[in-house]
Amino acid sequence: MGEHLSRREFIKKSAGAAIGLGTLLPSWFQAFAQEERATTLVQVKGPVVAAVRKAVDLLGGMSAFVQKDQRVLLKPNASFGSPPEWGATTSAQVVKTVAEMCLEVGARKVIIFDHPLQSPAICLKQTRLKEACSDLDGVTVVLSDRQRFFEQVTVPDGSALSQVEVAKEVLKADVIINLPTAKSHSATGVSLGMKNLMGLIWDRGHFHQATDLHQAIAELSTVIRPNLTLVDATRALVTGGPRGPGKILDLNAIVAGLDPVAVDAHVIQMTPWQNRSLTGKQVAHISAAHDLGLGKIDLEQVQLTEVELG
Amino acid sequence: MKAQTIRAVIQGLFLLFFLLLFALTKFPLGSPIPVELLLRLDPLAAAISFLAGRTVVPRMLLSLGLLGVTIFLGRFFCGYVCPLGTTIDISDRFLCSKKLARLKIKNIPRLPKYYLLAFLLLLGLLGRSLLWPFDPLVAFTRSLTALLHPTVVFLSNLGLDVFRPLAERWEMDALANAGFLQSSYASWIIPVVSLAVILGLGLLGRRFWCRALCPLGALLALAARLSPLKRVVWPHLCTHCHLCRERCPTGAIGEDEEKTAFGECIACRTCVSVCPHHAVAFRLRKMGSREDLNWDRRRFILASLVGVAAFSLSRIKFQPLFTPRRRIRPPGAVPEPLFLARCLRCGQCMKVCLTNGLQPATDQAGFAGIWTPVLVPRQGPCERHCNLCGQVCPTQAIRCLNLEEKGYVRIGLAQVDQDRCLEWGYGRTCLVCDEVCPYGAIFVGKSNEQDQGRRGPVVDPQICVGCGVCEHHCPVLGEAAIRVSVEWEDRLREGSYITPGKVRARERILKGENSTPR
Repeated sequence: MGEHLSRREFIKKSAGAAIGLGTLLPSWFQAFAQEERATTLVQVKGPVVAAVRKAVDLLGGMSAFVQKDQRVLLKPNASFGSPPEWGATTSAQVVKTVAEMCLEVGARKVIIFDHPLQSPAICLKQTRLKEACSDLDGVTVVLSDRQRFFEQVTVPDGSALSQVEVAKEVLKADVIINLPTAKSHSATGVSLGMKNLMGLIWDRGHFHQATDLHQAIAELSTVIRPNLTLVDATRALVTGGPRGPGKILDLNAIVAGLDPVAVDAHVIQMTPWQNRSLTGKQVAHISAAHDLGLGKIDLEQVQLTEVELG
Repeated sequence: MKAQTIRAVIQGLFLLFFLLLFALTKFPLGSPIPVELLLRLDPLAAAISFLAGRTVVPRMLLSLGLLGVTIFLGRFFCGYVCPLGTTIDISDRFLCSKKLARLKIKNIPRLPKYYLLAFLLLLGLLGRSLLWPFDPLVAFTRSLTALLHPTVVFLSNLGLDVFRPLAERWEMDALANAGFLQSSYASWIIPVVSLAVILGLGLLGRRFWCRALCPLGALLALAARLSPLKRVVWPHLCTHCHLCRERCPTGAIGEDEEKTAFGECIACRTCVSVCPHHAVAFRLRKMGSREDLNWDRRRFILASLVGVAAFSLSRIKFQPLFTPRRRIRPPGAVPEPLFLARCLRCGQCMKVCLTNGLQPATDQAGFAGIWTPVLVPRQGPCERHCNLCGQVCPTQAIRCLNLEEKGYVRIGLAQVDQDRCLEWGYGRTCLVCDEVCPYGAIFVGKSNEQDQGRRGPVVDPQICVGCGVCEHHCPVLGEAAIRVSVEWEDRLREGSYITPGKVRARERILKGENSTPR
């Protein structure tokens, strides 16, 4: 019964299996690791530059996100010409540190992009983005207010959105890193990672006028998928958002993760917003994103690493 | 080098210089030389705005310098400096073809410009400024703003678009994403027509506008008559060949070549260089041989009477009740009557406006206010961190305020049209107005319970300054559902716009007391 396996055959087959396993295993591990990272959040408190670096390092370092020679899009919130201390915009130091880290791992180009609500010249001046990043080689700050820099894309299975004009830079980028600031928002409760992506589209009025705003924000996250979300919660604008002036809380924290829903859900419960304690489920657009399967809203399922730098 | 060449070079340099100053009239204002220099040199604009406004504007006193230099050197400004004069010289070259020659008239009248000057000064004395169609420097600046600027922006963007594919390919990202806000201005037809008329008059003769009509030219001519630097002709050398008279661009040389109309002479020295016998020179003389103007006293009286008539007409209320709800003036604009007296309608404030929201008035400010600046928030709002309109205003019809004080000037009040509002009227999630308000003047209000607890944006009139950012961003198509109107506008002739009440209201907002949870 059964053929005897000759030695030669045995060696051949086991070698084949070993090679097969050897090639498959790492990818399996990698997949596992990806899964692992997706549900991992890091929260680092401390001096801002060190905190940003530590947060990214805890997620596997920038080289886990940016490969050599890639084109990276950073999306800070630079939408308002409010002074930085109002907390309406991502602090220039955070943006600059992330840009530097991208360059360190060999990014070819780093584009810092927003579609501001105010004159680009004013936003550049007030946020101090330009002066912070002007000496970095390969980094370009683009605050765009012309429609020709946006391109229509379809939203697959969108119920609130069927089409949306997104920045061409989004389509050109290999890697997208979302750099929101933590703030309250009059219409959507909070403005964190997913709400920040509204700065990558042209026609925001459409979201308000012609469709359900919360569902549209969630569906936008199915089209624009940041590889990393890093929230500047160094100073949170907890009332009077998104533009301020309002109450500022020095949370002194950087929160980062791969799961856009989990990041937002975590930042929400760090402090009350507009004097109300909230969870991710109570914020319509975050809850809608969860329902679309974009990430975990239940923080029980998320592994949080908290670090406090001395 | 020939005198004509030297003059052309100097003219070209001045034209470029003024174009450069115009290009620098933008945010941020980095020019070491005041960008409004050209208009500050204008003694006519100074005289009319002082007379009509009954006040002296210190920054316009610079024009006394031009008047002073003219008293010593003659009407050199018209020949060498005036950018409209240079433009006319250029356009005249195109209008001198043989076909068009039959349109030329022999004797270009000199006197109408003096009558026009008298008319304008008299109106000014009566408190009215009707300078804007006639002042050459104002007309020039206005044309640059309304015609040249949008054209240049369009062409620059076109150029960038052409190179964009290459820039994208080579990953020149700054260039690939470069572009300029396409400015455009309402009632651009007015500068088109006025420029066409001024240049078109060249069909009747070279520099027709300058010789016959320009009221600034007339004022400078009066000063130039006092000049000791004069054209003199050595009678023993002159052969009366008429060459100088034929070539004189302003017709300043009389039938008798030895006589000069010193008011007309622009010291271009063409006569010196064309004279084959070296009979002409410019010398310091107490008295050259002067050709007198044939002042017609009756015409002067007539011009003055026309001025009085125009004033009387302006007092008659032809217009039925005028309620200027949308006449939103830029922050720092002095009270309306003084504003109308001072505003030159030069368009500098519109050029410098960061958002292109400052527009020439069509009907918003009534007939007397045509081409004065009004804010059109749908086009562009008043940017909180910009105060340039007052800084570039030559006559200070818009006061020069620092950024902090400018932030306290109420130029109007935003009002919500609840029926059209997406929140109030349709129960949608919007609140964009609240989101964008730079002053935190909008909060979420609730209606009473019989109304099924509707809610939506409410404006706090203590905080709102009417900057129009809400109106600009309101996503309702067509007319916005939140609009700025002129109520509550602050118009101070002098003194501070910052009042304790306003400061207290702002402090309330900073404490976060107006943000209603949602």
